Amino acid sequence: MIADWPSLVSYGSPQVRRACSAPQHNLPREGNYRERTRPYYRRVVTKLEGNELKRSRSVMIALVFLYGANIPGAIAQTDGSGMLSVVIMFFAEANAHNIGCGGRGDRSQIDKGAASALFVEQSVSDRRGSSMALGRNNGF
Amino acid sequence: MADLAIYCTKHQDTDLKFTLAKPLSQEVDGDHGNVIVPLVLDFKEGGTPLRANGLANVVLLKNRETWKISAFTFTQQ
Repeated sequence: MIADWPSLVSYGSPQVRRACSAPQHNLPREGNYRERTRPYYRRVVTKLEGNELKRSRSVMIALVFLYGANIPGAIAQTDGSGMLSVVIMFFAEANAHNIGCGGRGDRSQIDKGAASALFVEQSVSDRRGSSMALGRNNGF
Repeated sequence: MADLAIYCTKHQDTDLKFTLAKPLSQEVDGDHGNVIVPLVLDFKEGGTPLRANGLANVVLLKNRETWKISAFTFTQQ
């Protein structure tokens, strides 16, 4: 009597090998264990596969959430384009408004145009430059 | 920018033109980031046209959802 089908399959017992290889109609009824247990075995395996599939999907989604946010490349791809557009805009404005080189003694181009909005804040020297350009409290 | 203007005035640099190339690197660490981009700088010094090839390192800070420039340096190659 074959008691445990999966363990016998894994060990490759002679009874199972014979049951699998021999023609079904030549086997005695009590020995055709594979044929009798197949529907039940299939049903169990299908159910386990479904659960395993759901479990593996959940694990995969969790891993994506856990590790996906920590991939520097991913962050760089999402945020990098924003940084680059600011840099490109700054140098375009610098070319358009002659920023940083408004001519000798000419500070009027500084801190004007869209470029000023691209900076975090004006430095002390920039504030001094602006006030000089506006003729306020500059001592001249 | 005012410091750059002072430098330009001192060295009689005029007509600066920046030409960007493809960025070498973009790195983000939280709300800090920096972009290193090759830069060709054409300018006139005392009326003489000059060209400088170098790298610009632009340091940025993220204020809410907007990146803003904190500082930039230019290094001639």
